[in-house]
Amino acid sequence: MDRTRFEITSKQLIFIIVGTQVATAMLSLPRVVAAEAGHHAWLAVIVGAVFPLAAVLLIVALLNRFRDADFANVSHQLFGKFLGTLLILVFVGYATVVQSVVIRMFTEITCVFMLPRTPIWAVSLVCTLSVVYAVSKGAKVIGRLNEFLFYLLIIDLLMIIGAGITQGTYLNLLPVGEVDINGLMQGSLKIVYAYAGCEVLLVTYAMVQHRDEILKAALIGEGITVLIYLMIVVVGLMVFGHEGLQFFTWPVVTLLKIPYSSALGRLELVFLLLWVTLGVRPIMNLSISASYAFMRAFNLDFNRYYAWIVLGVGTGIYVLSLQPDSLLQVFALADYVGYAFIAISLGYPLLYLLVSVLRRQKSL
Amino acid sequence: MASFLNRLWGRRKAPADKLPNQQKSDKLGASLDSKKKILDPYVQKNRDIIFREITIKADPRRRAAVVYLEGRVDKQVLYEDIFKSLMLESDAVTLQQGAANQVIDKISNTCLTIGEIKKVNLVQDMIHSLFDGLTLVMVDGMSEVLAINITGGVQRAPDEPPVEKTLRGSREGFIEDLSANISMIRRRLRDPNLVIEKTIVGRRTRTDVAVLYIEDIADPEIVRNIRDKINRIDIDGISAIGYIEQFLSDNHYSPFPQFKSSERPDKVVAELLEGRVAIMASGTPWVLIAPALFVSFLQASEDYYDRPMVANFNRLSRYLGYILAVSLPALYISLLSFQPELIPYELFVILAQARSQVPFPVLVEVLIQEIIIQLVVETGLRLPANIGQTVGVVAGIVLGQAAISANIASPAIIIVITITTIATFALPNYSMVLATRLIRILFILVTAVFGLFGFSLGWFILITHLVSLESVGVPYFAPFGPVRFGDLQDTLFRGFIYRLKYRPQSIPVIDRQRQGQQDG
Repeated sequence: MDRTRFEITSKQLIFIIVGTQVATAMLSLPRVVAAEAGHHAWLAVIVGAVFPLAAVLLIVALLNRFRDADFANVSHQLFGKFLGTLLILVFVGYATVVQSVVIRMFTEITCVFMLPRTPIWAVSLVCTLSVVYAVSKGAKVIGRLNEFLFYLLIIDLLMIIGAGITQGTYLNLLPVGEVDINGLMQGSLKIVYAYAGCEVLLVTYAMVQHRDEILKAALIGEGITVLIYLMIVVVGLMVFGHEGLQFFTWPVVTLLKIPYSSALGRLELVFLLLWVTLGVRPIMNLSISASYAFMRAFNLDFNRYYAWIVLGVGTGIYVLSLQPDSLLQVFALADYVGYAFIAISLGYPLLYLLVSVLRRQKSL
Repeated sequence: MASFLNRLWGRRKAPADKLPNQQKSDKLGASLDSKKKILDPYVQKNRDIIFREITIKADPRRRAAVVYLEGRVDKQVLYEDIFKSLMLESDAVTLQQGAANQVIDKISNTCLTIGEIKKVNLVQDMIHSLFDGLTLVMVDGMSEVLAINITGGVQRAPDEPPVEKTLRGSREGFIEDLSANISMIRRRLRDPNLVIEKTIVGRRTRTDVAVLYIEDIADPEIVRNIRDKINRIDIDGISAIGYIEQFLSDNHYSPFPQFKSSERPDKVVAELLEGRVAIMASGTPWVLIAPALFVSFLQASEDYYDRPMVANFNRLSRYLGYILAVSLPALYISLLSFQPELIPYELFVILAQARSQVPFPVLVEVLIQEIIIQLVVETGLRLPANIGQTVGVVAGIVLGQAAISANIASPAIIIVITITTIATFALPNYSMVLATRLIRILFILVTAVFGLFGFSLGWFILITHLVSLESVGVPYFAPFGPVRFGDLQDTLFRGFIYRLKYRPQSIPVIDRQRQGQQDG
């Protein structure tokens, strides 16, 4: 396998960042945020965006300092072979756990809405296998796939907007002002889970062909994510109101049950039909980051081992995804993933930056 | 005993097509007899080799011979321009003037009224020339032999292409003869920059293969890639261009054709103008075109010949046809067995009533019909046209009707499978039709287990696969993945011709400009 299979364009980076963030979390987002922030949930979306934004800026600032910006290479350079490898392994472990939570959430939604009588292990298995297949093709393919699927996402979003315009009322968003600061802060912390995903930049940075465009692309990606979330939360609030939202586990899906169409009895199924392909994107993107980082950490031969490592990561995800007993546990795990995300996406670049600054000063 | 030991040690006798090594690169001897001796083993075994000794009128003392393969040469030309010229019309004064060692040049220059003549002086070249269909003229005392190209014999006349029919396009289709095919392209494309490279593939079949491209448009990297791959082919023989296609493919584990093949010169010219490369092989009336994109398999030449409004309607229906061909039976299964609530209530009642008579699960029912149709199509292909039609009618109408009355199939499934089959053949490219039929079966199986979810996942995997494919290094699923906005005006829809000012971005070319800048 030649290294060109791991090259992506900066345009594809935008879609990878959007794709890693906007997936399963978007379906429950209005409920989760509104529970804390009330009818100012949309404000929480904007405030919460500070975290991923800071993460992106830090990661770019860190990796810009290195000529060979490969995550594994940087870790080894800064922390030595042993500690560097350990840090990479922690990242790989984190990515695997996040994926397993996402895939479980994904499986739960699928089982509830589409396959009530199919066992979770079976659905989870076919999802993992499709992801392993896609990831084994390399980053170039993943980049193109994200790009293509982004346009499918737009179709799904149009359906949500349509439902929002026909069913909702702007009165639910009023009164603006009199913000409950405490609730807002809580809400923005809750939403962090939905923003998990921009840390793939740590690994994908080295794959982008034109380095000077990375910051712009990453920021555009973040911007698009914020816009999409903003839109979803506003529509959720407009249709259900912040109290009404609490009655539904996945209010965005429920939203589409309302409009009646004569040919398709259940509009939300059409939505989910498209969404299935969208839901696997974060798993795919994180999986390739984890596999790639692992390969580079031990400097393995891509031709011989890449497919096996991908399969190994896939097995890890699959086994972990079957661990939670109930949906409630999955939601609780999702909260922890949000915290872990803050720790990893802010902690890693901060730590690395610090060491990099210190070491360079020493050497100068 | 010796041969047994040889076999035991893995030693093999030199293959018959190979001359003994020391003879291979040997120069030919000067005397006619030495050449005759070399050819003798072949002449004795092959009755179609004619070794004719003649006397040249201009130089009666010098022995000469003409050697050719009966049936491979144009006899009219052979008799008129070689035998007659040498034996009756050659001029003694011109031939006997000057040095004796220039006789062969003088024969070539003054006696033979033929265009393509080359001189051969190696044993190997002489034998290959003979079997390539060239006519040899050898003269005593000269180590060089003239190899004259007057190949002819019976050829099929160009006909309307049987598979790629068109209403408004040209009616000419390729034939089995390489030079005739090249001339069809040259006639339509008189650009001096059109390059035709020729090579030979197959140690035994020695099939002529030509690579065509327009020098100042096609990407040199792609041309080099194709040329290298063709030169690397080391096989005893190819019997059709399909062999070359498989040698050139980047991804062997894929049902999708990674080269477009066409039997229409007008289509090949259009593709050459877009910067693609065409590969021809003698013996096959099909031409390979690379790089191929997925979208190009859904485009027909008429899309460009008709008015855009109408052409786009046709093209859109072809895309719909593709989606139906891949997914209609799968959708039927998932809706009926998993999500009946998506079907309008009245329709569902009708479907359920019909289904209740049938003793099989939906999957089995669909598979039975799918297999029957598969067999009907396969049979229809091999049978003569009028019998094939009869079989189609019997299988389609009689069997379908009987299956419904016998409660083996519900009417709905017959409708579904029929629509699917019709949709499959709406695709303009036969290789894509074959791929579609295979993918459909996979979709049926995955939806039978996972319903609509499996349907989505099936499309996801299909798209992943398409995105991962490359044709000679060019992304196969472009301009959808990677998205190239500039090219979208000739995918689902075709823009007005006067607006397609640039060649497709998806295919690397040297020169993207297609039209002048002024609005037409």
